[in-house]
Amino acid sequence: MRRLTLLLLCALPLCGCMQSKNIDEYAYVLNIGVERGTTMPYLVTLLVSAPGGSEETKVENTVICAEARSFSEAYETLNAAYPSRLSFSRASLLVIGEDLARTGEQTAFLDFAFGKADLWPNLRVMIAKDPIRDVFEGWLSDSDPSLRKIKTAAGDLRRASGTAADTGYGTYLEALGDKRFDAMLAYAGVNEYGIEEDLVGGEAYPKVGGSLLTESLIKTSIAGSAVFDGDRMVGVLDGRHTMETLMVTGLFRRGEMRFVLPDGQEIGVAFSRVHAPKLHGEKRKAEAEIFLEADLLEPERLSVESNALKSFLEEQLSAELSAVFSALQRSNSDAMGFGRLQAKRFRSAADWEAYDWKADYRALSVTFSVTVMLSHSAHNPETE
Amino acid sequence: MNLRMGAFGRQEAASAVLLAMFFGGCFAFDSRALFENGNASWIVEIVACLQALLLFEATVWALRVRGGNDLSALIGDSKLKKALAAPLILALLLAAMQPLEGFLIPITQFVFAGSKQVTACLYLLSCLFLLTVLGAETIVRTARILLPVLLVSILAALLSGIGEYRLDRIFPIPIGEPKMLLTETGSAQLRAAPPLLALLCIGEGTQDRMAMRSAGRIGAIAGGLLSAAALFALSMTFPYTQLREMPAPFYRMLVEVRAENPTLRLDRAVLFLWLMGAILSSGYYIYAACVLFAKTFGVRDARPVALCLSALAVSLILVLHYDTETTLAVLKLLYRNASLLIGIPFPLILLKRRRRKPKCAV
Repeated sequence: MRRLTLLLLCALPLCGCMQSKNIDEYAYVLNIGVERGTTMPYLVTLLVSAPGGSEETKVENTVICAEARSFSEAYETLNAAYPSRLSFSRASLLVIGEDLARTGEQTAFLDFAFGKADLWPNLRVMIAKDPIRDVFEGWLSDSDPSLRKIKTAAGDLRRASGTAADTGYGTYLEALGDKRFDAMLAYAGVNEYGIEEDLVGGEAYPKVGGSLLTESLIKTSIAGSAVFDGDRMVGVLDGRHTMETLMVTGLFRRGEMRFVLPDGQEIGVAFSRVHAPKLHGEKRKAEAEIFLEADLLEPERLSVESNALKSFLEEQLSAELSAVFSALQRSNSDAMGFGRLQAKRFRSAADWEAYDWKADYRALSVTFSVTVMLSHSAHNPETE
Repeated sequence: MNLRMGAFGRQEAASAVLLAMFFGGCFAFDSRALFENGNASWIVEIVACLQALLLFEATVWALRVRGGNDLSALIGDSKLKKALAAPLILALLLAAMQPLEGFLIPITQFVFAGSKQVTACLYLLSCLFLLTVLGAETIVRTARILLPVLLVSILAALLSGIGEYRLDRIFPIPIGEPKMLLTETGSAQLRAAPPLLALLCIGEGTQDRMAMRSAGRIGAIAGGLLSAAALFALSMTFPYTQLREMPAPFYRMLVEVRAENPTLRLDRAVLFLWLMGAILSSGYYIYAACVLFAKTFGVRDARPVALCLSALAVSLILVLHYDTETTLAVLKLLYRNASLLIGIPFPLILLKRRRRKPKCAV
């Protein structure tokens, strides 16, 4: 009797062998793209990696796309048309077409998609200025067959230079559902397609995805950010303005900026965060304190006194932050996250949920105060 | 009687209580109820632990006064008290379902993508059968062995998320609504009280009432603080509006880290480690329910009861997944009224039966 019971117990886990599938029957989707279709509402583009290719790479990357009315329809169509079974378990990047994001129509699609597909929540989200097929093909290169660099490109840029936003799908959903802040997504484009206009203006060389003056193996660039009002994209911030917005949100680590001094001399300054920004305030009035360390890129060429330079940088940055805030406020986008301050005022979730923050946001006045600690040591980018 | 109780010490019993307290606190099956009114779950967890500890101390005191080593000594032969044991067995069964149910979604969606719940449940069932049939000593000693590794993995998970924590997410803290806090603390009794209730059921195994008392205190305080810390970390990682809809949020916290985090590829290994802890916790509850049932209703062998209750718990989890509308409604009702399920029978069991005075001979 004991042996029989033991045998029966051992047989229970065998059910896992039923309908089993070998690992090489799958092709792995690395990137998912969705934009407006021509005959159907959505055009879904997938960058798929499957065993094969050359001796060196051992994988073959293919861009496939299908027009559909929903994610599941696109999945079924593409799965039927592709020789292997598609798996989303390794997808790391979700790219939304700007045309779709401008109308906010991506939300319905994504709600459905994430209910059905087995996608990882740490998927990074990005906005593409140009057709997604071209954007994906621009990333393909024999020297990086697994697209390792692209997976972390936005995060690397944010940490190293602050010129791009880096947002996960979870944070994007948080921005949609919780009104504490609006989404700010990395912006990508194919370099030869042209220049995108920045929401704030005033920069001679707007560092925006798709408009970088580069010529390289990788044709698609990531820079700047797309900012949202709820689920609708309202504009683009270039690299510098993205950096300034990140300074307020607390996500800025380090980055370089160029300034023209009152005497006409141009200087380069490498900023790094000293500690997290402090936001205080009430219903329609807020104050943001930002603490930065500044390292001059060419200190030997500088003829200005330290104190004067410190005051100049503090005033200049405060003025630029105010300009970025005003542009965002005009577009009704709280990408800087002043809604987080408001949540602290409430003692009940129901009251917070009923509160119309955006109505007060339009009348919000913010004072930016930047404290710069000047360091005259020679800046050596290789040591970072 | 073949209860397969065995003998174990204070450390083993405290480990089992701690694990049960943690897995009950962090893998509750009604996320919506837990975060319905904002982010107060971590405050509620501490208050609920203190309440459970008070109930535990009162029971140990009653045992000292009236003699006995476990809860069945207080139930005795009274028919009313035997009937009152039924809601306690139900509470233990519901508590056993919680951690297992919390792991089903990560297993079927993130690890073995596309697998069915019934397949995963059969794995769980085989483990539960084995644990509950082997008895208390096996369960609590395994808990003691597993505890250091589990603690390291839990602390690593909490520390790895530090970069993603944002204090503003914990707001609004609904401290201005005492009525709501009271209701939530009542619901939290299904997470905080069963570990101590289970210890009271298997108290005979600790060999000494004082050892049981200190094991309960250590396990409840450490487990309560750990689960409150985990819930606080969770509140700083996700806003409460997302937590309401999120299955297994503590596992999601582990995977929703930045790409460069070294724990990114360890999440599945950690998940299986936690799954072992969850199975042990469920086994601990089910075994305690078996002992309570066997001792109260005079069943001489705990093994058939163990097999039945294990199968019942796993079947209920499956029913919960396949027939969500009605079952979920019933379970939510029980979950939200957990304070009644434990709070009413317990004081009545503690009450001393008044002895009738012998009639004087005329």
